[in-house]
Amino acid sequence: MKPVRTLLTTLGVAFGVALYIAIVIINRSTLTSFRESIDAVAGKATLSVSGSEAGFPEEKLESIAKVPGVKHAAPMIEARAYFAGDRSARRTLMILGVDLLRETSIRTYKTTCAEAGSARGGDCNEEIIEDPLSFLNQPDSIILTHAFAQANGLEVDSKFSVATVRGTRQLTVRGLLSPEGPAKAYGGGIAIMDIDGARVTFGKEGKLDRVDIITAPGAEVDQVAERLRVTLGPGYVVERPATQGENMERMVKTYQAMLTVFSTLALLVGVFLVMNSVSIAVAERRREIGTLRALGAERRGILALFLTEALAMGAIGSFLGVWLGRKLAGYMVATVTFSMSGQYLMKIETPKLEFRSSDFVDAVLIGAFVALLAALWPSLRATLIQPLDAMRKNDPEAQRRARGITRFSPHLGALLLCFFAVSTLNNWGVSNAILGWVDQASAMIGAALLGPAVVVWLIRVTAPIAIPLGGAVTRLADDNLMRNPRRTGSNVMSLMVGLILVIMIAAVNVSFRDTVLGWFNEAFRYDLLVSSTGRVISFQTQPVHEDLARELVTVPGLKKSAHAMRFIHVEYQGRRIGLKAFDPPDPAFGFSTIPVIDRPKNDAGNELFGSTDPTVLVSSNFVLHFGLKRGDTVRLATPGGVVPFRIIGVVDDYASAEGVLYVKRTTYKKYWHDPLISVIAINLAPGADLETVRQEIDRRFGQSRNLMAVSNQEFRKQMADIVDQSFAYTDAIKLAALLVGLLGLFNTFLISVMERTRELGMLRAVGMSRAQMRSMILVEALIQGAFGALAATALGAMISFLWIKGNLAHILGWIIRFHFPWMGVLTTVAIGVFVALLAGLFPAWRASHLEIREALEYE
Amino acid sequence: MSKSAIVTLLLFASTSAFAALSPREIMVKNEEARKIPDSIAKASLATKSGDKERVKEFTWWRKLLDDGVHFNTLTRFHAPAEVKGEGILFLEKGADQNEVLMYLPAYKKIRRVESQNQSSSFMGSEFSYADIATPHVDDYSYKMLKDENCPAFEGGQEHSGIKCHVVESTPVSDAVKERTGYSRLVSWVRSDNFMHVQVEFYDQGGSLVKRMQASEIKEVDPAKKKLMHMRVRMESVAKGKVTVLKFADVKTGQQIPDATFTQASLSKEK
Repeated sequence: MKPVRTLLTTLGVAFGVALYIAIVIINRSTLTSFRESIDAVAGKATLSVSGSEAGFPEEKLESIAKVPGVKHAAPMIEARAYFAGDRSARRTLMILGVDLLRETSIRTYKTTCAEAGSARGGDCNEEIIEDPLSFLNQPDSIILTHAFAQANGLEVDSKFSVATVRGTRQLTVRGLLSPEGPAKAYGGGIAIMDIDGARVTFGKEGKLDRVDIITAPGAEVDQVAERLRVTLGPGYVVERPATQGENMERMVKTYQAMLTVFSTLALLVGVFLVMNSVSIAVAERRREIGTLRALGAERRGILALFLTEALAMGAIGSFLGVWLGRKLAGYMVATVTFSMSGQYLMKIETPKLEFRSSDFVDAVLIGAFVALLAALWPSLRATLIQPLDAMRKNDPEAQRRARGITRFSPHLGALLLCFFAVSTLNNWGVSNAILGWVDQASAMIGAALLGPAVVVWLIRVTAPIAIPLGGAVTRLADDNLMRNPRRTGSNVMSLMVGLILVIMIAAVNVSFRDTVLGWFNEAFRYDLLVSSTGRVISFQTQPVHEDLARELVTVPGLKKSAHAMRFIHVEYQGRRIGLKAFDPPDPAFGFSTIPVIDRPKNDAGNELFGSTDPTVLVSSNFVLHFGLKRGDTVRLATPGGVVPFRIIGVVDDYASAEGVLYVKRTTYKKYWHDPLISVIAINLAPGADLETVRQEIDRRFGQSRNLMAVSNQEFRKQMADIVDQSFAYTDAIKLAALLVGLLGLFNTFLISVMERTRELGMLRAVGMSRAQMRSMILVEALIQGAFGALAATALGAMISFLWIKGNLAHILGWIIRFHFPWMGVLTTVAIGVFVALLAGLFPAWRASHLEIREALEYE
Repeated sequence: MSKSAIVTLLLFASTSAFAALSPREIMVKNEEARKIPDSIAKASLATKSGDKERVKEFTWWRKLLDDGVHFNTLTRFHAPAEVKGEGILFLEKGADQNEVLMYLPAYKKIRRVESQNQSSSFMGSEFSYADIATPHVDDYSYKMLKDENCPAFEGGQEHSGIKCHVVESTPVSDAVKERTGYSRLVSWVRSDNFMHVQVEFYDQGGSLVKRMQASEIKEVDPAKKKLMHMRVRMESVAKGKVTVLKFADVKTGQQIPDATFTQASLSKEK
């Protein structure tokens, strides 16, 4: 059976490497896409000036242009266009509103020739707009990339509808871009509008989002940047385009770190599989090793023999893993980026996967290293086998010596878990990547070493109950498992490691989901939420003008007060935090909807909406990241300058991993000069029917204003869905972990049956039927699967609890509370039993078909 | 003096006068011939690409500044409907500081055309903003290439049989080069009235990019003997696109007020 075992182990390494490589490819491709998009949009700009998402006054352009050292300054409006009526918000366009009369020096656009007809479109090297006079004077003019137009069945002169601040509006395609320059950004999901057209469409009249600058030849870029900072004052970010990329990278780094943690753990599962396989090989070839040693083979020769075998399995597994990893990355990328988009409340796209030849080398090196590492301990043990001990059969003293230090495995496991607990609760691994790795390895190796002992203990404890209930076959199965605890332990080890990983993922998922939903139930009690179409839950909608709120309350069946909220991102100490600006809540709720956690809600609400000076509530993760507390001041850069906001309380909020601030909307409007709103929360009038009111909103505002109304219940469901989607990518990790576990279990069961050939033959000789033999092996598998799953649940839950309490808040950015994953546990136990039975089927069949005479002659 | 001697003398005089002009003097005369103190004209700009032709109609007001060198020009579009009311104001200034402003009625807003953009297409035509503005003698250095018969082209029969000076103009500064987008120009200037007939434009890499052919020369200001091309054809050599600029109903000596060339006037839409 050696070829089968070798194949299964190699496959296990391949799955581990595949997952690791897939995550590496996705993470890198996402960052590359960020960088390329930023570079493509920045063009030849050496500096860029930006403000908050609400924009800054366009008059600033002239001030910027006059700063010594500024040669050219090109203004821009940036907006995300959502297709009208598309509730999924999957089809969107990044709009660059540029002043085409000032663009030449910064960016170059190339048009495509319609007659070229290729998928890419021929490059005509012509002006992008045939008729600038018409283009500039018509606010509906837009230029699409050839790729986007083709994918959406659009061509020059086609019209399509998008959501705007004033409702649905048709845009007309007046040009197509070839994929060069800015058109390469965002995977071609980019469009160019004239700056004034974009302003009108996206509610930014009189504003700018950014100004790209080319500095004069000979001017020191940093000096020009400093002059610009002095001229503009606070509230503006003056940076090199490359720095923008770094900011984005920093933002998604935590999310990618979590992905890496899970993929590394999957690789660790592969380590156990190799370790398991080599251990079995050593046990199986004990006599052979003894003979070789007796014939003069040196210890290092024995070591080299096993390490070479492991290396070969690792290398071949890695080759396969690279191929699988590329496929897996393609399968996972959409899920991962969608999940990131939801998490960071912005559209993140990874249009193409970037596989490098160095990935191949890395994968092979990682696979080989992992295999060597995993094989080292069992191989070293092989070198300690004494020739005489190896020749003896069933010598208890020799067996004791052979076990050697492994007798202390459970103790070592417990020690490692203790180290993990102390390390994670003190966040040692947060600031140090190596300690982070040590953390993960301690948790998994500790659980793997302690787990088997827990399984054996469980079997012993439950035997007095199980044996009378199960009959002779169960008694035999139980006896077999208890008689050789080492074999039982090694059988369940790889399954357990896989299941622990599944439990950890389930625990993080459930804890996040329940924490967020619990917060949401407290914070959102309105009957309806109205916004423009799109994914309102992640603010992937077009903001609307506040006038719409006033129009909305005229709908019969609605209360006369609408409660608007504006969500934007603002820069604070170089990080991108969320800002929510609220109208006072419905008096029916009082301030009970404000999720304040450090003081009475009424007090906090009264102070937020009643005080005349700028006040702010900060989220708990903001406190975690910035170390500020109630009474401190947050100095926020607004378009009108730096404004000190007094912190009056701490709230729970999950809209941004970097932190969220709550301000009242009148204060926001005063400092940000922004009349737009993201959503409107509104209650039904007493006795009004929800569906009737929704239909009326749809009739009045659906088509014309592109508005949609979502009920409280639907919104809750969307919230639950988005959390689930955020973790959807972990399905692949779970699957890989379970596959590795299955392979490990199958491997060890098979060896276990092989090792017991003589014993099983004896049982058949004394009258055990084939069916009884089959049942006995399956019962063994069942017991190991069930108890392995239970032990994995206990250890996995413990590790998750510690992780969530400790490191995870820093890795993820949010403070979440541990919730026990009941469903995950039930599923895990069921999967454990199923996997064990599946893995036991073939060994059971093989055992039941043993020829008695041959079996008795075995060895 | 015999008849033949007189003819010989006249010929000699004419030839020596012909030969005596330096290329710069030729271009000075070219500029002088076209330097109309003020003019109002109706015009059309027709750009043809393949089978598609776009025609825009506009009025322009043009006035020579007190420095006697630079012009201010206001262009107001009337047709087609989507461009009606749009206006472009060229304010020529010294030291290569030309200012180009554009009025967009849809937004009731004036926009500035960056100097680098002035080398790009003028409203989708084959003319650039720089081609529309008046080239000034001092912006270039000159080299006489040859004298030859003026080139023949469709619509340019009036030039047939007339001698042309072929003059190469090279921008004197990088600023001029950047603004215009050209590394050199080659002009065919009629020897009789010093109006140019044809100009070839070479890009920064030295390749021929555009060819302008001017015809229908009309004396629009008889008192001051000022001439104007009523038809100017610009062809993009590589793209094969052609724009024809036609003037009609040219009035001179209208005493156009300076206020015509202000931002307030630009945004009047009329």
